[in-house]
Amino acid sequence: MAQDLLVLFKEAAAQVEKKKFDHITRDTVVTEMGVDSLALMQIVSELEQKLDVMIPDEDLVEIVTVGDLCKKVEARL
Amino acid sequence: MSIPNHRVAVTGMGVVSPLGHDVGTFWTNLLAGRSGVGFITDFPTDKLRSDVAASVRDFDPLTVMSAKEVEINGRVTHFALGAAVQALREAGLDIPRDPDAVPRPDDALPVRRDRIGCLLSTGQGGVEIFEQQILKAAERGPRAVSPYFITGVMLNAVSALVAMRYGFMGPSYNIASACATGTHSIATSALLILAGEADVMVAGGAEAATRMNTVAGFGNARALAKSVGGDPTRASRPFDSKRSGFVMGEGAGALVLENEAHARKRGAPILGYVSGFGMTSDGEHITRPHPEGLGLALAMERALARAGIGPGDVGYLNPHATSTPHGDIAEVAALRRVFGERLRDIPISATKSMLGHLLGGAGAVEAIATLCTLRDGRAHPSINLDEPDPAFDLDLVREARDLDARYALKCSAGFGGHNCALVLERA
Repeated sequence: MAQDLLVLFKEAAAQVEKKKFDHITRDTVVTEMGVDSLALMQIVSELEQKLDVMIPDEDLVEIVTVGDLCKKVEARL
Repeated sequence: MSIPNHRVAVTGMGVVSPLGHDVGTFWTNLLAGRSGVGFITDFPTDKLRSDVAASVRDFDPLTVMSAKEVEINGRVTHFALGAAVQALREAGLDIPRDPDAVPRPDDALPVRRDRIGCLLSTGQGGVEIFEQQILKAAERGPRAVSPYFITGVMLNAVSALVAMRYGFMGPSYNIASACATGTHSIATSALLILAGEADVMVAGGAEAATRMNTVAGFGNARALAKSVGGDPTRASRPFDSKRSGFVMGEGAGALVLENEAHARKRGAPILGYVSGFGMTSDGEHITRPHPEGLGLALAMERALARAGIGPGDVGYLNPHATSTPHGDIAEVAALRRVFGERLRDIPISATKSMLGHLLGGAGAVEAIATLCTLRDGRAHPSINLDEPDPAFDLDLVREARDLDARYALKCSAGFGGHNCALVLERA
């Protein structure tokens, strides 16, 4: 399941940004991904819709890495 | 560049807003520190990132339009026409045309029709009409789409309706620059008068876009604030440490701008002047302002230059101040660039703290608040400054205060990096 979420995240990012994110790992710092804040909101929204969950804004406040984000999403499943 | 030897005077003002449907009530409420923000009740907000808005309450559009006009035109036009009528009445020009006669350029109102135009702009137009007609087509097919669909949603419907009501034949259209729409419309109307394209312009802005989808859209871009401690009036808190976004608002502000010599000749009341304006772009990001405030600073410098004054002559500032974490930072950076050390000595009040963000209407309604400030020598407070952000070091007006200012600066910055600054002058 942990690996699946990283795959899902990379797919959502690719869908939003119309380019590949194959090099992303759980250690990648979100702000160094090369996506702006609006795109990040849209990626989270895509994951919410795909997984039928809601990730409250408070969950997103302290995330630094992609792995942090994946953990927060996993916790809501 | 030679600037023609005449000034642009303000000869009428009108508002329809969450703080009142006439300038007197609106101004009294601002001075008293009253908030127009309440809980959204028109649609459920449990899945939205904001639960509050500043709404126009108890305004009857039938006072300015027929029942049919109310239905086929968007809510934004109801407010705009309401404000325009007030402004024109104050200017002595509220003379609707004879519906049975075709307007002719040289009809004199007392002003020739072809010398009066209208730039009363909206950023989003008749959004509820768009929604309703899409739903109708989905339910009943395209034949059911109203023949008034396009005219109902087109942004220029606002200016068109004002021009139609009065038979104005001068320039009329719509300027859309998101949150700077109203300010740009005032600046461009002044420019048209200075260029000799009109002697009188009905200028301003309006918005009525507080719909579930719009609140969802702004909210999902993390631009909006929620009620604080169950209190909607605490959500809009420009320059405060705990600011978290803006509050959706609706309403309209209209000004009659007029060539000064023309106004004096016909004995029109002079309420103030639009003495300068500056228009620039950030060219940076679709929502984030330029991080160093360069674009906005340039707009302010251009406005001061056009007014023939320096930063030392400005006695009051009414900034854009939306209450977003980044927006307020960028704006203060811009202000520091222009005013330097003196910034901390210039009184500042953030109208949005009470009024919320009227979007296309913001610049116009806030310009009216600024003109009232200059006229009465009294500044309204900025509310919700429980803990002003220590990074800012500003002279924020926290209780209504007397001041003696001849010039004020009003500025706006719209999504997309559109900046507009006005120098307003006391009559």
